[in-house]
Amino acid sequence: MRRTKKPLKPLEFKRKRQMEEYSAELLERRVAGAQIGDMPVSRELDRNVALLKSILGPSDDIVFREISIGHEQHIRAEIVFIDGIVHKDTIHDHVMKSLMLLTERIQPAPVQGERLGDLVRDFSLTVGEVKMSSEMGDVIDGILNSDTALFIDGVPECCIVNTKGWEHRSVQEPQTEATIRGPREGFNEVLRTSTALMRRRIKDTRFRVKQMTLGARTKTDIAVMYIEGIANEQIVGEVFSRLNDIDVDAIRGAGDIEQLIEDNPFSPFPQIHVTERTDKVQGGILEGRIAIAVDTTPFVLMIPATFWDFQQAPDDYFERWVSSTFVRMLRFTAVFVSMILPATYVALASFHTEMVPARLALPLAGSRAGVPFPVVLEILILEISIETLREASVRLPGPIGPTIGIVGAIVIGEAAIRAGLVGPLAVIIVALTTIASFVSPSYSMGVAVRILKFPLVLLASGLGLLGIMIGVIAIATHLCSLDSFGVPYFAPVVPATVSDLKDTFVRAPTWLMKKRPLFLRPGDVRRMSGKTSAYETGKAQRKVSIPSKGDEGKGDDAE
Amino acid sequence: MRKDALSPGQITAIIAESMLGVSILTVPGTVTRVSGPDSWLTFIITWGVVAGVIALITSLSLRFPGQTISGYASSILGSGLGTIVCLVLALLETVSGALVARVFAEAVGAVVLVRAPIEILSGAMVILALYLSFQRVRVFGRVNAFFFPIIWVTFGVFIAGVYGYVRLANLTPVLSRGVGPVLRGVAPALFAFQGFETALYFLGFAGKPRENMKAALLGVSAVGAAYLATVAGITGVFGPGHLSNLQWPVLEVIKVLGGESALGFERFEALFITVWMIAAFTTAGALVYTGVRIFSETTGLRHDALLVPIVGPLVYLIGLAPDNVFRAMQVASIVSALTVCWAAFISVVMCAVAAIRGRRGDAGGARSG
Repeated sequence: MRRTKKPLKPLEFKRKRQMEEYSAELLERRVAGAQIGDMPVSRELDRNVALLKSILGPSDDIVFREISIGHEQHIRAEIVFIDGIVHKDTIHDHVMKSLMLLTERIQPAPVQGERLGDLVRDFSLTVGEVKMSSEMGDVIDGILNSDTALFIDGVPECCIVNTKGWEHRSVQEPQTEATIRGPREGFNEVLRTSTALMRRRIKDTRFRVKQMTLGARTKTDIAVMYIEGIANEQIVGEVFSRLNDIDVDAIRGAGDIEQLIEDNPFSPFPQIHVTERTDKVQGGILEGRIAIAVDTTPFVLMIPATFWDFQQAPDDYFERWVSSTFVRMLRFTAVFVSMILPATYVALASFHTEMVPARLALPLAGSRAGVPFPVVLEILILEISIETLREASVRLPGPIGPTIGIVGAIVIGEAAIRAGLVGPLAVIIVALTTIASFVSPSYSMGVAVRILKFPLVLLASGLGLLGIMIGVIAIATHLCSLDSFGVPYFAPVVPATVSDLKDTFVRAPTWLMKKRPLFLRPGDVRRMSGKTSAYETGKAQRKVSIPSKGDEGKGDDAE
Repeated sequence: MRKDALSPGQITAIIAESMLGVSILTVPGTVTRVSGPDSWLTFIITWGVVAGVIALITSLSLRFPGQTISGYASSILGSGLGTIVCLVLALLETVSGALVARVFAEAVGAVVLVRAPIEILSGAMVILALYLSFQRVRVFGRVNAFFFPIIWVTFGVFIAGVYGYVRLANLTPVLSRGVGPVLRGVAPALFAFQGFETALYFLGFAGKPRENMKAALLGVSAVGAAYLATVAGITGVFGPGHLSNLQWPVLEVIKVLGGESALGFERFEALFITVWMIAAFTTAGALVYTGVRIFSETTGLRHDALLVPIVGPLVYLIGLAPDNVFRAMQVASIVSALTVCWAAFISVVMCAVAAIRGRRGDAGGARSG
């Protein structure tokens, strides 16, 4: 049986024709380069829908759902959202169900326009965060940002309902920073989770979370977190000023922002902390630093940062101060060793053999016997090989990576020595350098040090120890020239702040660190009262006897 | 506080490190040749003279807060004479910086890198000094403050070792040859103190000008004490007769120390000269920095536009001009004496004229470098 197309009713026909004309008009405007996103929300539902379709284009994941609401479903409405990045249960239960089944009180005649919109927002949408907007730009931003847009026929505003919800990784232990005694929670890719983790740790009424959107196309949400009254106002202002200046297409992660706001982009040294450890950010914020969490990445930026900060780990504060101080000094030594050890070997073996003690000179000469390359080439070959192995072990999947690293290092190293290509002493030097480079708690700082050892090796091959000293002086001068958001990069050593030195090379006992780092110029300097530890109050020295059962009142003389 | 302010500690470090550099390697010998066993008395007198001049320079900086010599020389002496005074000082400072680089390169060539061409060694020092000259004043202050403890710890280790070998007989009897040789030794001893005149520039950036006097005198006193300890110690080890014949007495005395101790290293003097490069760098850097900045402020030309194309090659070529090490040290000695005398002379004149004319700077004078 042949089916005939049901003729449209005159009203529907008229509406369809109007929409076709409107779509054509929008197309012309778009061709002419006009910003149709700046247009206001219309009273006519169909115009709004046509406009949205024109802007968002033909994408299959964008859902347009027409519904009828109100008493006897006499009001037409349309909800728009992007499938996959919204919480569907919220839309079903708290938007559609509320509107379609529970809007009996909306009568046809007396309620119209903005009042109708307000009524729906106040009495029908059972969702925590709803905002009204008359700008189509806001509506589009909301939809792209996982909200749901609700247009109601006759209302010149749109309800933007927070329905954010998508698949994400749960809060897990940080992948790039090992924790010994600290909390196991790391940030994840969801901005709200990151801010919530901080809220849970800092229950201060002056803790501020200021959200911004960056990236014209990615519209990445970021949250700037700090404690008002502790963080220096000028530094906070500078952070916002630099963030506001960012005008890029895309922010793909914290690294993009880091490179756009750092003071000296040509320096190999990191000037902003990047971490996924919650305790590190908590400590930083409480000291007066500013944290920037970025949606879609578990890495949080911390500002300002100094050179010495990069050698500090949160675990230092959870351990006893003696062991923390020892470990910290070990780290500084390791950084220095990883930077200059290969260069020193090249200098001593190439230029200053007369400086090497006689007992060491013979093994040195013996280890080089038969090696066909000059010392500098020998070290460079080994260093480049080990860097390649390290990079390969990072890129290889799962458990294979470390295995390849170990096997590669042992097998190739052993084979190279047996083949006479390199000397065993050179292998020991490069292995020690590699191990030392892993000691730094900061990956970025570790990379900087690894890079700088190469120019030092080359300088040593040209001018021996003098070349190394030239390199070290140049590096130190460069470090002194750096600033991180107005804070000298070498602070608190240069410019020297004596009270801040308690937490630099050494880690003084917690109760001695009564002030926040002064180089951060915090609004509130003191972080603990005058006498706060049992040692200071004298309670630690007082003899406390806990009598066992039956010995009450006899004290130490019970026996 | 102004943007490029220097702390009192940084001013002390700058003044001390501007003086303590290459001259310590040679001056004990050159002064002993003139003063004999009483060379340490010569250093006490020179120290007093320099302290007096630095006090005058500081009083000028207090009279004209926030101004360097290129600012207040014109106010005191008039525009034309002020410009000439500044340009001569700038020239002397820059040439001195070049010669410091050359003399240190000679020391390195003599001890560590015997076969390395002097052009390369001197060039490396000049490049470092120029790199420092590119930096802002506050960075210059930070660099000096950072290296200050390293230099003094190195010096402390050295001097502690020296005093284990001192024989008091080498220092006595005192004034056996009269006062004349002691006073005649002041001229060559001034070479050791060259660098204090950088205060004419850097005190203009003091964040706390009221502490300028203390900071400047502390810097001069520290270096004076270091020279006194070194000269007395080395004279005590070698005796004046032997010391007069040594070209690098400090390095020679380290050879004596290195024979027995020195952390297991052979040729400890090579290690010392390598670390002492920091002191030579801060001295040469300070002199070139001061010269270029005064020239730049006086003429209104940008210092960074001047440095590479003009001053860089100039400093390098001036440093290489003397034929050999003896000539280089002779020229360095003459230029440093000229610089010290010129700085002392203009300081005295400017202080006197400012006092007579009642010239004073604006108390809120701010500057950036």
